[in-house]
Amino acid sequence: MRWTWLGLCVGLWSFAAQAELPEAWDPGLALRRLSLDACGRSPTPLERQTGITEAGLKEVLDGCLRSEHWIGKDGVLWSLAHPKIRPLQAIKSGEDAGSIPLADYEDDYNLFVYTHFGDRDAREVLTANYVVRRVDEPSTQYTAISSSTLEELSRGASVAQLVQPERRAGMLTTRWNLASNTMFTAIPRTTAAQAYRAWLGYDLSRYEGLFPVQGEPIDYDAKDVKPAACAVCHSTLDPLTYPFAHYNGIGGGSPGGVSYRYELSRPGRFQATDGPLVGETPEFGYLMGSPVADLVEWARVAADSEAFARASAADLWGHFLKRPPEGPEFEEVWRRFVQVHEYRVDALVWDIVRTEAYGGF
Amino acid sequence: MASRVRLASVPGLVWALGCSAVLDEGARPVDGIVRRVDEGPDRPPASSEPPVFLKKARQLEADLATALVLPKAEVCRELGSEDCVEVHNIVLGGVEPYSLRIDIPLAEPSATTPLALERLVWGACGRAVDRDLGLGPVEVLEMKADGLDRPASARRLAEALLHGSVQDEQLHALVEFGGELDDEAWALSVCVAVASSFGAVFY
Repeated sequence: MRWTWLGLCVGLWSFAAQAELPEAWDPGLALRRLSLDACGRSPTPLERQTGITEAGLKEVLDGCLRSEHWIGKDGVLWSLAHPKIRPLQAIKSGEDAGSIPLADYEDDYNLFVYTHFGDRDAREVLTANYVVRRVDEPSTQYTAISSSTLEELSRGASVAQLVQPERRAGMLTTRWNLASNTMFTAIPRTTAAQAYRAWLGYDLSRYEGLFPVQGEPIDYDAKDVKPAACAVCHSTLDPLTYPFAHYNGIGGGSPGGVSYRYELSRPGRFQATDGPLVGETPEFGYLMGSPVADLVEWARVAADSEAFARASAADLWGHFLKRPPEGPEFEEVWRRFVQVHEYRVDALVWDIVRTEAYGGF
Repeated sequence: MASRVRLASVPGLVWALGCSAVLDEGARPVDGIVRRVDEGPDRPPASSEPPVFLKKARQLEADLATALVLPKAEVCRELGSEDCVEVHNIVLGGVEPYSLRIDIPLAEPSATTPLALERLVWGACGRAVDRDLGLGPVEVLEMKADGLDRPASARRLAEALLHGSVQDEQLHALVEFGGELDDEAWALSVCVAVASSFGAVFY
């Protein structure tokens, strides 16, 4: 009897958790589209029979969200990460290494895909202190590993993730991100601006996401960013960047440090090239007007923000709708992603499929 | 083999197939624009411009492979050796971020997209027809004692390539087409016409 009541409660909760289905929504149309968008092929004859009901459609979608087309290498999720990771084969290390092997971006893709399917919280893409391994054969499998620096070194010096586990912040502190964005710079504005654009949807070059901080920019690295025309953006960008300044890129500074590793005193090594004040670059900074103590907190604040939820939902919306998000349906989709689904991307996809924008006629 | 086909008739056949293949019974093409008919006061107002998407290279390849019973690797080979999807990837909606730094698909089809699409379709249809009428197993065409069963073959091709039922007038157009053509040329023409029609390449 107790289980009966429990089942009833679960059923009622599941019903309440479903967004209301639009009246002008065609399951046949939704089936055709989701099969191609999520499975990469038209529906099979069997799916055309079973997928014409809402429950059948959900079953088809669940299968697609475990398919190689969705989670495999160069699959849909993998492809969504291209503009965020910005790979470059010429400096890839590991398998299929380029001519100047610096870092392996496949670790980044692995983490992105892993956090974007199954019963996982997508925010871990920014907050994870683990790394993710992938096996391609016979079918793609991802495994999260809380590896130490020593264990990472056992993978090989050219691919090891060297940031100390307690200082890792998901995609923000991967070897690839530090190699390809921070490179040799003392205050790596490029790294911060790319993170802001990739994960929060704010492109500072388009004057998006400006949250000026009083008293900034201080210009620790003598780049002449105080004039009003520069300060418009740098009063946001510079305090956004300070937490990144304590993670080594490829190299730079004197004496040199250990590449791709957290080092609190790192900015001080750049005084010969960036002036005497650079050593005073703080670890704390500001993200969207909120003070953050370090990059780990930067990542936490970012991951919990409305901007992250909107940007994450917009990525999937763009994949299925082939256009930028707009309208009240998108507003409901991204809010439910946070409030109902607790950042589970599979549930977000189901909500998108159920919109009139996708399956309506 | 393709050179023996009289291509002049194919565009007319494509026109005959029209857009109706992707529409359900509630929709009709009007003035070249796809619109749904009024379904009465009990139904919600329908969009006059429902979004339609062009299949990307890998989607086209997967659908052609399934419909024509071909291994994906054999759907189309440029110069007999290069994977057509790799060769035409970008213009068919793919990306190449690792070397070319093309992270997102082209916003619009390019001038050469139709040519690339035709290359893919010709390649797949050529291989399927060669196999069925040659030494390989008969997978998609229907044969009878004195040659190709055109009505049955047209139905099988259309149902496979359009993923569902096909209207009688569409089948009639296919069967009546190319009476002067030999079986091989007819089968290839019909396959290309259907596989490159609106219903097969858009969704």
